[in-house]
Amino acid sequence: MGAAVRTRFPGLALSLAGIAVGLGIWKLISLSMDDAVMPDPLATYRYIADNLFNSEYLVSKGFSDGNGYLPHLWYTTRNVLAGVAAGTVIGVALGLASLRLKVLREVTDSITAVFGTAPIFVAAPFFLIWFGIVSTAQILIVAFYTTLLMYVFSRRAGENVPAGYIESGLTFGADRWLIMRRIHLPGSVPELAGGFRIALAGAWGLAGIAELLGAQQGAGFLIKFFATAFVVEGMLAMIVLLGLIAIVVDQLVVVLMLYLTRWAESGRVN
Amino acid sequence: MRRIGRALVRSVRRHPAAYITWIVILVGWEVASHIVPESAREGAPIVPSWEFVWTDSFKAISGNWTQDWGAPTPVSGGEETYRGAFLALGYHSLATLVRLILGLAIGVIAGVGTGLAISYWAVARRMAWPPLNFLRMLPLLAAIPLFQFWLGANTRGTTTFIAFGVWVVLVVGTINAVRNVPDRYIESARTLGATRPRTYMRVVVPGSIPELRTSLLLAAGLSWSLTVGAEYIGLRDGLGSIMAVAEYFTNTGRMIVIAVVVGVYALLTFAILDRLFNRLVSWMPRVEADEGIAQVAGAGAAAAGQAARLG
Amino acid sequence: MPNVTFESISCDFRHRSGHLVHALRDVSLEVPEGQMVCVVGRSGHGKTTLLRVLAGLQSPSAGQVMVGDRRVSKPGSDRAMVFQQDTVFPWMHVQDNVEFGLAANGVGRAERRKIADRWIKAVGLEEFADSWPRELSGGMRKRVALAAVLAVDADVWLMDEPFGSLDYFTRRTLHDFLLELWSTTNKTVFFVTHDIEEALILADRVLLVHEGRIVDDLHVPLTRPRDEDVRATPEAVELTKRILRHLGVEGGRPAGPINDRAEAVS
Repeated sequence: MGAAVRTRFPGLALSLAGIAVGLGIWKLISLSMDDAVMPDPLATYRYIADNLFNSEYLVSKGFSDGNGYLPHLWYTTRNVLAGVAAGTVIGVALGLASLRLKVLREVTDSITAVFGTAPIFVAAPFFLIWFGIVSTAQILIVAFYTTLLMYVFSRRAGENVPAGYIESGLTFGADRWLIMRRIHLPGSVPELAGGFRIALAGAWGLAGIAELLGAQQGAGFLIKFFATAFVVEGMLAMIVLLGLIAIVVDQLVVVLMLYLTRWAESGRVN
Repeated sequence: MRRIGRALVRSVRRHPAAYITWIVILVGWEVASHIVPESAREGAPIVPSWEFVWTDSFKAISGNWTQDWGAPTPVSGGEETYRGAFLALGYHSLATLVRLILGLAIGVIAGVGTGLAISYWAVARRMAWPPLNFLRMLPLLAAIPLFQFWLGANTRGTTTFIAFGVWVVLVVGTINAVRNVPDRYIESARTLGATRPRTYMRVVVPGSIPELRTSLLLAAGLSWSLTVGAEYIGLRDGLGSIMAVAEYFTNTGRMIVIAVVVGVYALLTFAILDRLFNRLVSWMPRVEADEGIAQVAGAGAAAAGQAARLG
Repeated sequence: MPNVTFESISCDFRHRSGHLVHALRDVSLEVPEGQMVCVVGRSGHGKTTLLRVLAGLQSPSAGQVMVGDRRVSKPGSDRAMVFQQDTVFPWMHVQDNVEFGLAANGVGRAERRKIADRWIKAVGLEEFADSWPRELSGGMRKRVALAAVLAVDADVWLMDEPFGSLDYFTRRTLHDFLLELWSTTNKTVFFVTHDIEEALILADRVLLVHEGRIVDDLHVPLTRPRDEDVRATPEAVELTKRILRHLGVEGGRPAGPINDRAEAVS
């Protein structure tokens, strides 16, 4: 706690130690259970390595042209990235615009008041039925969810830009759209960064379950397949892989955000 | 009654666009229900009209009532009744809410507790961060089949699953909240003579509470998703499961009814949590986060210092 | 260049609790071009409101403000303002900050660059034209704010306790900067402050605001530069005492609980 803590070990060593402890806990759990129920870390690693690029198992079941898990993972990743990107652009544009346009604010508030809080998941079946079980469906679900979240976040971030900046812009004779573009938008980025990462984190699960329910490919589809065949290592492997991809993407986002906010006073890190 | 009416009129006058939006949506929906071609199935239109939803579809939910008391059971040939529908909704709502509330409560308490404990030692925090971060990034919704395999597709298993998801969110959120308590309040307490444990309890912990609000609301949203998701996929009772049945038979009307019910519950959950959270920090004046922390930490620091001098 | 005229300005606010606050009560005032006016008063008595009404950031409940023969209705770069808080945009380099007002008024890129360069040089920050504001000290950021105001060639400079958050020595340096820039451009300046020393260093004219009204309008005939010697003359001391009287500080002791009690005891 606090700033004045001296440790003898550098941060990296502690992180690695923490990961080791985490793996150790996993190993302990797997030891106390049947291998078929909870495979241990090493076995999972070997399983992934065996199946990632070339999965004989999948071939034997009639899927894929021997390309393993990779194409499925890519399918999910692509849906998430595209959906989040589209949703962010629309959500932020709407959110910032709503600061100025009262009508827009009221219209969207009345909708988000209902949907924003209800589990988006409930809307998923509707999408699947009405839009058909196509790739676009998952992207749409992710985009819809991201738009909602980014709308709320950008609204709040825009409102939190200190009034002094807005007034200063006004006294220079800037019109409302210039103020939106050069004051609200850059000024909201630091606060938006956190919200963006939250939206992104949730998008993986959403895409996964959408695929689980109605796709013919993707990580979620594989999970469903493994579930029906009781292949625990398969399910676990997919989840772990998705988690790892999510972490890598998240870290890239962090780097991007650090660049976009390189002008900011060094403050809190989230 | 009159007061509600007047408040409503005032609300409409102040936010005309909002009400117009909803009217447009509802009317547009009704129009669509007559225009969109019927689907092949009888009683299962693609866009059901409102009348259909609130009569036939609603009554059809009584199909989910399988007890032989209270109302006729359509499953065994009885007629569809409103009473049956209410009973069915009540029963399944109860099932869902029990899992949700228990899971949420356990997860929040365990999460905040773990987070506070870990945050006390910087070494522990640094070590715990990578694995916790990894757990946080796991797509839990996609992992429902896995967890149901491990924990069982029943109430106990689902509650544990929800508690786990909430736990992860709250641990990470608490650790962040503690880190964001400004150093100067901790330093102030220490220079007043408070020991490390006392400072932690009286300054850091209360000072981190306001920032927990976001994590709490996030956890609430997540717990709804997890609950309905788990029920949809693998359970035989609960609102998510009757939603799955409705979808299987493409009963859009029934799906809408359930969606509305779930939506109302979700809104209520958020409103109640908000109220509870405010009650918890009600002794704090309603100010912006940083000012609030200042007030809390200032009072806590003074109290901690005083206690240190006396004790 | 135009005069500034306040015609029967009143400004009322409704406080959140329902209480009605009369921030300005029927203020009428005429300021000739090129005058440096300091508005002095206690916090909450209306001096900032007066400034904001002129800026166009606040609509008066009654009366109007004229700049020349134009009525003030909204903010504009003819009445540029330097705020107390840091309003140099942290996400823009110094260069872009100074060019902002020009860009807002549709000045072309090459022209903008030229004008901005000139004023960045005038405030002594040429080396920092491509720096982020966070890399500069508070005083340097204020100079950036000044350069931005100068760049748009405003008729009136509005300053709301602009140096309040800076340390004493930086403040004195910025006074010199301001006076130098003012004397070469001859603009009308409205400078709000609660610091009497600052007012005496800067002002041609001091307006005293108390409870929404202008209770005194002092001409400051002291010779410039107003160094320590000038401010120690009997004339200057008399001005100081007069201002202090209006602010409720009599005989070196402010009215209030501590001194009332002290008098009761003695």
